[in-house]
Amino acid sequence: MASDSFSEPGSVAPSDLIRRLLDDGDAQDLGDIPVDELAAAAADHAAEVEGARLFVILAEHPRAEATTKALVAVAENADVLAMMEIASWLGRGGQVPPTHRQGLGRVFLERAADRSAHYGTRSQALKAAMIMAQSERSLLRRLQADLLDLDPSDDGIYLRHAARVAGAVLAHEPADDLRHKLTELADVEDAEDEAAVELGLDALRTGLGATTPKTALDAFGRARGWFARAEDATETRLDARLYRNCLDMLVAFQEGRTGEDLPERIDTVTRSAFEYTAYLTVNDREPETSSWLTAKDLERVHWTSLALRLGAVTDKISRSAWLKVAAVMEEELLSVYAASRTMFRRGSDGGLEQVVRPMIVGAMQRELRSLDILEHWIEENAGSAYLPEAMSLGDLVGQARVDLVTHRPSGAADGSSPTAAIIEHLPAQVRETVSARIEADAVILYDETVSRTVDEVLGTALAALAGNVDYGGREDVRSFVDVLLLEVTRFVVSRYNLSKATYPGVAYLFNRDADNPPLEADLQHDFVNFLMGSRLAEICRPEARDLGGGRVDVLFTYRWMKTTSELKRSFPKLTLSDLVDRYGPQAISYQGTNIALSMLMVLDLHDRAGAQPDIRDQIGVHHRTRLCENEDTLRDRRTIFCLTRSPTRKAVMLMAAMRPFRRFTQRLGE
Amino acid sequence: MDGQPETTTSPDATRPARGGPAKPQIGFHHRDAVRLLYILALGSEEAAHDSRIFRGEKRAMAIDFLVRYPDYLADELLTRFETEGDPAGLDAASDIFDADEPDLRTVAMVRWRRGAFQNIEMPLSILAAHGLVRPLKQTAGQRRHDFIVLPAAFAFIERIEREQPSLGWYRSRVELVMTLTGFRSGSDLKGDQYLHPEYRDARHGTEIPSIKERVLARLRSLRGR
Repeated sequence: MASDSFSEPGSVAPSDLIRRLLDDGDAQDLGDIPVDELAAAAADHAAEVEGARLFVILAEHPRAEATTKALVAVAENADVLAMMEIASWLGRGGQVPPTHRQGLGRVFLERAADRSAHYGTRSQALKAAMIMAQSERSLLRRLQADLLDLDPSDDGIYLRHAARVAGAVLAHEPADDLRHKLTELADVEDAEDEAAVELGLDALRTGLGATTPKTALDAFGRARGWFARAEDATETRLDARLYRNCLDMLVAFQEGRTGEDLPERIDTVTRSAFEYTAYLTVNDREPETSSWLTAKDLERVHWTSLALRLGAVTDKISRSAWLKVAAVMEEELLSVYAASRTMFRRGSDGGLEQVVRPMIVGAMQRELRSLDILEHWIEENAGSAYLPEAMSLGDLVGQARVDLVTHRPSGAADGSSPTAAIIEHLPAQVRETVSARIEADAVILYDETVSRTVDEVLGTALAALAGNVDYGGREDVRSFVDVLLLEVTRFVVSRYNLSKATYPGVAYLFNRDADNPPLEADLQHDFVNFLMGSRLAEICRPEARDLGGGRVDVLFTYRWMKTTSELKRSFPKLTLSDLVDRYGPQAISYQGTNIALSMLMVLDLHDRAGAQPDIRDQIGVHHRTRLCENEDTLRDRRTIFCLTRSPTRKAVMLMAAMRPFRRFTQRLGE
Repeated sequence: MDGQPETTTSPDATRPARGGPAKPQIGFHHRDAVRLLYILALGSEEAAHDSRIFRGEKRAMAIDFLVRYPDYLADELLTRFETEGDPAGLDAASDIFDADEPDLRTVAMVRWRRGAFQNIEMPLSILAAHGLVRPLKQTAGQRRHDFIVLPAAFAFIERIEREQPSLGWYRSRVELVMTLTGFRSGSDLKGDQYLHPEYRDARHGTEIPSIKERVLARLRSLRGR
């Protein structure tokens, strides 16, 4: 420890400075204190909660060059409690300047490798090292090397944590040697279930990307075995059970065992999925079950989507139903896998600074979606003069889908798309239209796999929905709305990025002709076309008359739940809040007897001279209080999604909530 | 390891909204560890070699729930007053509300498959690292987790109470809860907690809600008799 006597006359002693930093909790002037003295003083305060607080203060200090050594000193001397608090802070998005990450990462790795230390300190240090490694390639390489050096005779509980980290790294950097290491860890009693789940996920990804029936079946079988082993090793492994239930169905389908037990199997999976989504729900008391920030919202929504889509299979005793179920499984499991292995790093402004996603292929899943869109287009145009062969084209689509889901090579030439091969059968004058629609959908998928926007928008909107009475209080409503929100978010984001050249269907968004402005119908046509190629295709109906005594633009129905999308256009310059005030009452008027949520889309035709704000600033949640027509109605909240689109490609989604009706409340307001 | 008082707010900052900027959240693990230590120590029984044993992780959760939810604890105390005529129960419940504990001391728990839940792996590793508690290895077929509370734990508690007298709240609170729970099993205790509709009907994965207003009304009614 540096003695005060070493300090210069008139300057602050290092220990006093550290005390002031801790007491004031903000950026104190460090003066000209030597970095080594500051580091030595920091080392003396590196334990327990104080040590963690000091770490955060130093990490956030504007004079990074002066605090680097002190920060490393805290990391080197942190005890179990300080290390835990530091790792949690990092895991929740705490920021360390880029210049500090290498040095800190190395220290965390050294602490993790120190077998004389307690497993708690080591586990948390490893977690912290992994977070640092997300943005530092050389550190990631060091982390991989250390993981390969894991010794099965080491402390079992430490190895349990290390297995999770190894699995995450494996998802991003597939490697046989790390896979083998996880297999070794699966034989360590304390680490067995964690290692088995990670190996199960790894095999699942292999199966989803398989290009032959045999490799698919082998991989799915392996994955199923690992998940079953994880279940056997512990009392409760909800995730393992859910994955195994899904794989039971996929393996049965791949093996041709498509019996009449499909309804029971679907029930089992949907029950497990809903139960697991409850576990994934974020709470104010985060249980720290995750060693890193993952796209939990997105993972939850995709499990929900899986359950909802399986539930929407109406004919559950045919081979075609099995095929549909298998296709849904392959699509959604890939999305779940990607979400569960995605890591976020937030910037100081709260936005996503970096998204580290696993390496996945997803070609088959994209092809399945393309076939869905093509099939919808064929059905839409069956009977028209230029499509006399609709029936046979539909058969080609069906055969291509079977080939894909059974992982059989298609009849298309090597490297070319089965969908593209079928489009070649269409008359020349319509090929471009169909291709453009499919390409537009590919942009949506591209957005979901590489863009941060969907993650951000979805997370913000889901958090805001928590206050809705139905969403917050009913599991089934939450599931329904989650999927609705996912698809709407995709629509908004994709239209933000699409150009007329890619997809002529969005030309209305570029129309700034004041004498001949775009119509509501343009927005409706675009939105409905999008929906028909989406997860919501089976539960939405345009121009419906089943709700609120009027005609709604789009009606969504799932089980007992109904909600609507009302489409408008608007010319004056209005804020989001103004739009809710103006159009919200009509949008919710259809929801008097069902869930307190509806969607409003507004085509915003106010010319902003081409200005295009950040999409994340254009999607928000607004709450409103409004008189209910029926005083006996006990419903206390109504929520409105509102999406505005403009020729400047402005897209806005809002939500408004209706609060409890009170006899003496006579005004509409926030 | 030192102690610090527990309140409803984060020890260092509030939890950031999802999607918002991260803020320091320092102290949760420490607070959880201190509270768990009191529960394990004061809820333990004699064991071999000068050590004591706390039986049942589920039981720890059930006791923890009553420590973290003063309104539910007050309700239990009022029930004891009604069934046994013990005025101490009524007084203790009154004290809880006089001190605004439902607003100041509640630390929410999540409703999960077997009721109120919090993963204690992290606080337990802190206590184990400090040589205060040692989880017992489960034997084949055993589903209950037990914990050895080492002599150092009691010395440690005495020391931190001397250094921070405010931590005496934990001692008195756990002792009060123990007068209600005794050494009943976790399943038995949770059975009582399921009698509250707010607890029973909370969705899995959500926080168990407060019953402050209901208990306050009950307290006033009993006081008015």
